[in-house]
Amino acid sequence: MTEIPGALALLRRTARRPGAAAGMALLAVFFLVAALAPEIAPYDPLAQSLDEGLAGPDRAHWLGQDRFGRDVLSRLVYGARLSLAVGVGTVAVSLLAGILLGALAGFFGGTADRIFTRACDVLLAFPGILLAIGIAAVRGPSFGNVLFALSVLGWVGYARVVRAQVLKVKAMEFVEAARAVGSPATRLLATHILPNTLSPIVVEATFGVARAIVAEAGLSFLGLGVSPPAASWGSMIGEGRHFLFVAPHLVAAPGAAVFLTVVAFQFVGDGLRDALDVREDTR
Amino acid sequence: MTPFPVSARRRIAAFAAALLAVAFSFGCSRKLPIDEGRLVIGLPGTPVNIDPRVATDAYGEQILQMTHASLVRRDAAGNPVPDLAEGWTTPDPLTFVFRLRAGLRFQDGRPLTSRDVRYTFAWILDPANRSPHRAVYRYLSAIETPDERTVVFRLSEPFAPFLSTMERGIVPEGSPARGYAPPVGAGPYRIDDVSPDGEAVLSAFEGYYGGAPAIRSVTVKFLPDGNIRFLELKAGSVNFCLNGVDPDALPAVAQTRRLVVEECPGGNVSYLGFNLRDRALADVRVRRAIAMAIDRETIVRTIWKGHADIVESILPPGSWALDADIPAVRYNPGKAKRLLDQAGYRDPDGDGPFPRLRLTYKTSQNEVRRNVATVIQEQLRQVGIAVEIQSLEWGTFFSDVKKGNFQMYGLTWVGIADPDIYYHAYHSKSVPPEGANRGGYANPDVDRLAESARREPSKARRREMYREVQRILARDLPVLPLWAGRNLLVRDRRLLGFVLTPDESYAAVRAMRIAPPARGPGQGTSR
Repeated sequence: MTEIPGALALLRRTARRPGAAAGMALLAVFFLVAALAPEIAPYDPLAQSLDEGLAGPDRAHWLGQDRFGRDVLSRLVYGARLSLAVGVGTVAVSLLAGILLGALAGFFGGTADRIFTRACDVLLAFPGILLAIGIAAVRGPSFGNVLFALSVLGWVGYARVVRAQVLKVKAMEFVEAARAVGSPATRLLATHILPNTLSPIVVEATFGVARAIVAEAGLSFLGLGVSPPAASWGSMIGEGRHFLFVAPHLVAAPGAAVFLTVVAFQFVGDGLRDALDVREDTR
Repeated sequence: MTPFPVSARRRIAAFAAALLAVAFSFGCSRKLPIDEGRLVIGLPGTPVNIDPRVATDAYGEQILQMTHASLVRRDAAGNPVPDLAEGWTTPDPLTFVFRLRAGLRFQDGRPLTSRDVRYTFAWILDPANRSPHRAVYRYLSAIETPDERTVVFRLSEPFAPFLSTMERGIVPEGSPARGYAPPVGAGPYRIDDVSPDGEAVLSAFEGYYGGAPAIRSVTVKFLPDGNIRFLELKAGSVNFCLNGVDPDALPAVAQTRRLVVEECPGGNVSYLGFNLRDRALADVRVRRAIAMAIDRETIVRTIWKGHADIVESILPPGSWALDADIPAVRYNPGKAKRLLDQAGYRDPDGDGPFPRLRLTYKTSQNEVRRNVATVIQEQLRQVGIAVEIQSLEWGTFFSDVKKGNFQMYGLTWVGIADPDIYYHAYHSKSVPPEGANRGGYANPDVDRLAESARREPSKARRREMYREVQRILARDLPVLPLWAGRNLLVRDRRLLGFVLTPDESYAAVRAMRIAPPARGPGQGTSR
């Protein structure tokens, strides 16, 4: 049994690991860049200058210009918004659905739980990224469709973890005691059980953001991500790959951004796992 | 599920394999295919089918141009010339009599007779076989074979483009459709082996009526990824690639002394389609404003690096029916704004964020088309038209276009052989799926001219009718013709004899030969 500490205490405990501290610092920078994109970006990320297409890095354009002469640095800065939003948004939607369904199934048990478990097994048998590609391909590229495509199966993992935790916690003495004094079911679930199941979910969600960012990059790489002219890191890599041998800078910058963000989330996830002492039910 | 994931995985696997192959090739010296007398063609895509009776995709057709012979073929200027037929006569506008060459044989040794010709077309016309070419031959009322070398085609009504439809590979009588692998043909090369996700291996057919080709062995590699084609060309494992190198990468390819680049006008015309059922786009002033807001010259100069020709008609440059005097639509964003004002689409907030008009632009996920869409989106934004690009998987995109489920779309007409395309694309009755009038254009004058022209045997009179059609279309702008990409061939400089034609035909491969390696100073090796 682990208890979730206060947010500030948790952050302090997590930051004790050097990797996690570095990850948190990096994420803070990326989120700050995303939030302040209009102030930081040196140019309009959509402004084309066709005659300067594929120009390499120089003083005016530190990371060069893309096929349409758009400033790569500005697109990278704005791309952080979309990539991080997809990562966080996908996890938020999946988490909401996962916690709700997993908690209800674990708490009430019986036929509903059996149906839930079988449904989860069936859904987990689907290759997630292939389903996402299919959905994005048919519905067309857009931010909403990417979010939908990645969340359709994303909730299942969280739901299973929550269900397992609820089953464990609801058999504990303090829950029995609350039940004995006449707490209604919703109060039992909301105030006694759920708060005590969140530790592994927090860790799982951190890794989930990293996975969603990579998945978005994959979809955008295949041309199924956000719709042009918007920039996400994946779509920048997808557009740049055609010029791998004439303008490698188009792929290098967003590739590095995806890499660093994913590594940062992984490090923070590892740190959280240690801080919360979660030894099972994660990943 | 779409086929995308499989092809994506294949592409990644092929890319990794090519990188390894190239890395390996730099590590050790080995003979290049050209040193072994082999032509290796890098095809920029994978053929969907290689059976002349059902193939509709360009890549399948290009392989068939090497392996299957037809009654007629087109010469470099696009005119029909005898192929398996030694000639033909037209006793009346409803009858075409073809005389086959003597001693024709298929690649398996069977003699090729008039019965095989009749069988091929009868197979296509049989509804049970569901050939996509069936509609092309709906004017055929009978096919007669009075003797082994004579075929008589009888038409139900005069059809001027008939000869161009006879460019269809002949297969032996009784050949079943075998899925991907084609039945034998009578062309200069036979197919020894073919795998849908890899390559086709061809070898010279000794019994070809024109004599066996000089290059005995041809490998056609299916390489959808531009980076892989680039690497294979540089490494020499591919030595011939037609329209497979992006204009941006041409200078880097040309740095390899072994390779040369050739260019000729192309026959594939890109255009912007409008839905005339849409309230805004039904107004010709809005369509003209869009046309004037698109800076085609800049797009050709920067995206195509000059390797494209601006067109004012959907007929490719060099077509005999092309009207060179059609008034061009000039880039004029100021006038475009005034036209939009006149049409009632005033700018609500000057330089502010609100547009005069919102439109969607559907396109496939093809990289060039997406690039073009992105530039057009930005140029239309400059005149106050907000464009949302919907880049869809090909099946969804084309289905939407055929259903009329679009406002604007970008597509390319490939291999227009005859101006009868105007009946197919603009006659008010040519609605999908039978025709390609996807935007709902209707003009009684165009209907009348397109109907008369396809019945008119005189080429000169047909030309006049089509010129009139082109002038009307330039005024009405049911679509905006954009440009025709030029054909770009990258080949090993030792490969000689290929004639580059606007229709991207591979038929001239049979006339190719390999020159001996140059032995001058600094030219001792081919790399």
